[in-house]
Amino acid sequence: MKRRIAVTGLGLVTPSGKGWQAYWKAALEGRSSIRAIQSMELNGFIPKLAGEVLDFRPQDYITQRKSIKLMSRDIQIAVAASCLALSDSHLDMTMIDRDSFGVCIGAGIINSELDELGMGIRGGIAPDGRFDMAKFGTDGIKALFPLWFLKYLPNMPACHISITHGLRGPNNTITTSSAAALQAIGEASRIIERGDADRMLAGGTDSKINALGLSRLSMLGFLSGKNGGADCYTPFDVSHDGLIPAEGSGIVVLEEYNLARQRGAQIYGEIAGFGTSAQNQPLGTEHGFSRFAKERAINHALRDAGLSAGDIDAVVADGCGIPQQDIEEAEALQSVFGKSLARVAITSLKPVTGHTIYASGGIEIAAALQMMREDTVPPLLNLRSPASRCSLPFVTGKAVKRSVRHILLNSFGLGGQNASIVLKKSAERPAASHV
Amino acid sequence: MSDKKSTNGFTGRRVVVTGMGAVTCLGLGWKENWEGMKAGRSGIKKISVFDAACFPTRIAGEVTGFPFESWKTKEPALEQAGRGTFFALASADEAMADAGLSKGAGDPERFGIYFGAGDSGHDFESFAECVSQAISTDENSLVDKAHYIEFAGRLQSARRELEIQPFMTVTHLAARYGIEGPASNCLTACAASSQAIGEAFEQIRRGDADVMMTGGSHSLLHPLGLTGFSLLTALSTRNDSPQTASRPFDKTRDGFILAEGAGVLILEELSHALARGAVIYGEITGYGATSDAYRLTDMDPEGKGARRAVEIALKKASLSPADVDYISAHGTATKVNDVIETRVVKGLFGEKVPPMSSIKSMLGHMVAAAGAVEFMSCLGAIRDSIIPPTINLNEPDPECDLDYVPREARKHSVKTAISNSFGFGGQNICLTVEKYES
Repeated sequence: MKRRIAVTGLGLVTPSGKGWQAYWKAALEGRSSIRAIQSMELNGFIPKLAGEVLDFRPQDYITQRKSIKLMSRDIQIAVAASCLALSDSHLDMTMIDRDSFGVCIGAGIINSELDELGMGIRGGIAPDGRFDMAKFGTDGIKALFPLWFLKYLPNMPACHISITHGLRGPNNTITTSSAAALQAIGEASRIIERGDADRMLAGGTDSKINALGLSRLSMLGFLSGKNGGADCYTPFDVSHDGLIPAEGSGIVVLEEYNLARQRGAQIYGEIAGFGTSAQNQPLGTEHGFSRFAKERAINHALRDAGLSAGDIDAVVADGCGIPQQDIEEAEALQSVFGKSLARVAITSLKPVTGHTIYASGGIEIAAALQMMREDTVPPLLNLRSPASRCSLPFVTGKAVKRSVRHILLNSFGLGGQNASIVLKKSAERPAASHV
Repeated sequence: MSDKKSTNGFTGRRVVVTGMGAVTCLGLGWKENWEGMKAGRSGIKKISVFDAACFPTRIAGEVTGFPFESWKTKEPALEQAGRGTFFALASADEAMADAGLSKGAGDPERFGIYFGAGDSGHDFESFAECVSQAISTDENSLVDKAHYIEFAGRLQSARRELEIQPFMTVTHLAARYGIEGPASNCLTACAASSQAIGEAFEQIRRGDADVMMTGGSHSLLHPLGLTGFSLLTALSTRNDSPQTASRPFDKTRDGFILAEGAGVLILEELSHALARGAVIYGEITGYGATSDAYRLTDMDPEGKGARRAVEIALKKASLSPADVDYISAHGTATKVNDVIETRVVKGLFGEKVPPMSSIKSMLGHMVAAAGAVEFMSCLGAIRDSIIPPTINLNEPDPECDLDYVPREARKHSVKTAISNSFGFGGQNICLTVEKYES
């Protein structure tokens, strides 16, 4: 018998607030937290819109001041999300085997703070005002914080989480762009399924609301050029023109199903199927081909779950708002669902927070699980008139009540990486009170 | 087929290695690398890829003579690709040809990739220029962010900024070989490519694919990468004698040598490999992954996590320590790693510790790519009955008192080998590989 995977804890730090409840409420009410960037001065730089995590105090979650100094913002919000997830799971950490409790996090190259790195670069500026490598070698390196490097390695969020909670099981970091968090959750499920761990903290973290992050997204042409209000982020709409970035972290507790049952845990749902793929046409050539890669990830996930498209009640689409990506996803869904498309409720949640890139799947899965618990699908915000080739049965306007037993969740990367997960409603109520 | 293997894993599917390719400072190609290792050659030299003349460490395991330009001519999509991606592609070409799969791996949906690519190079020159231009006079905000973004937009190449991201290597590999199965990339510092091999092994065992491309690539050989490790005091500063600078387990060791490169393996489900008459290098039988959860900047002095990783891998393979003929050490040549690794191995193997060597003595430390090439050296050892040496080991350290196969390769029958990789931050990986006997 295959071991089954239950989701028993949700930890979110998003622009909507702390905890999954704030995010779910915002999604249901159709409230977006996108606004003009407040945390940095961006005088000449347009666009200025983003989803920021405001009022975040790392010391609320991380007791050791010394550790905070070694954590970039991505790491701080990830550790906070992991604390929230564990607390939400009501696991008694004094009672469980931490050798079989692992961590799998989606994260990329963490952007260095320019003020920190600037200390070293400034040391390398020669009297003529130009940067000089020799001067950097002799004077610049010395001016850097000695442990600077440790704040920016991609595996550091997962390391800090394992150290914070003493989790000694398998520890991995997945770097597949916007697919990373969902892929980390899928891979963590496989680790539990094969018996290498009984529990995993899995999800993702990201903050690109900094000079390096914004400049890269801008250069790559991924950013929306719209600069109005919260309704500017318009996936699948005729006005879609790119993404609006956000920061956040979403981490879930995954648990072997029987263990979760035995301790009377709140089971939000099950990971029923997982599929991935890479775009296998050369980048920069005929981009239209990559809809097939998206289709493959979805089909792999459905097959893994032993389901057909007709069994799916709702889809949380990636819907990143980049026109080519939206079209490819819409065409992939049209192709996979065929005739059963009309009976599926499709939404995308990125306009609620902005696009949290490496964290997105870890955040959106929390809403997907609530959709099954409450048999409710929140709306895709800001959709007035679907773009051509993006015609899908979207939920718009208000959240709708409908039975949701199986849900498909897509996370597609900005460089051709694709991950899909099928969630299954938990049939059973908790065996005992979890309080 | 032995009974032992049929109980291995819930599907009973067995995983063999049928192709290998590598690019390192020792040579372009796995065969050149393996010959170099058997000859005890060092690939460490003065850094030439940028001007490191004033850096605390000026030597590295740099890949030289790589035909970047002819790749770019043939594949215009690679114009801005990072060094690591080129090394991965060249290694993958070699591995696919070696496996006899140059024309494809059969059903593309059953062909997956799980890679451990690091960031692929960094355009430091333009970055430093942009930051320099944006330095402000305001002490509270050293760099004017809006100015930086403006300069970056003008001076940096968008495509290059995309190419340095660690996910791009897999995108290029999947495109080149038409991979339509599962795809992933992990980056767990120095353990990444070993972890990728382990996860690829599990995917074949589970039945998600019949053929997997795996391994890793990395190039941190840029000013910020070198600076980062220098500041952590992890690097050797023996600048005047590059070839003898990497001294794992030697009393005079003073840190590791940063290196770049790639190692790519083709893993295949056994019956798939047999059906097409593939040459089998060996069978992967165990994979253990743990975390220290100790401290960010220190290894657990008792190495409990490392020991558990080895124990889990052996158990998965139904092996006991006495079955192991060779250990490919993590062996970085830092003061602390080598002592703790020695302690772990002694604790686990007791009186009968098999020979253990570190090829980082010859190749330096390729970080994410290190484990893949180390694992390949285990397969080389099994095939040729030769253990690659730990060169530059002349003065024994009382705390490192095992048989590290010092200075010269050794004739030694190897049926079972294990490969250890310990990532900075506490990820421990152990892989077991055995001679395949039909």
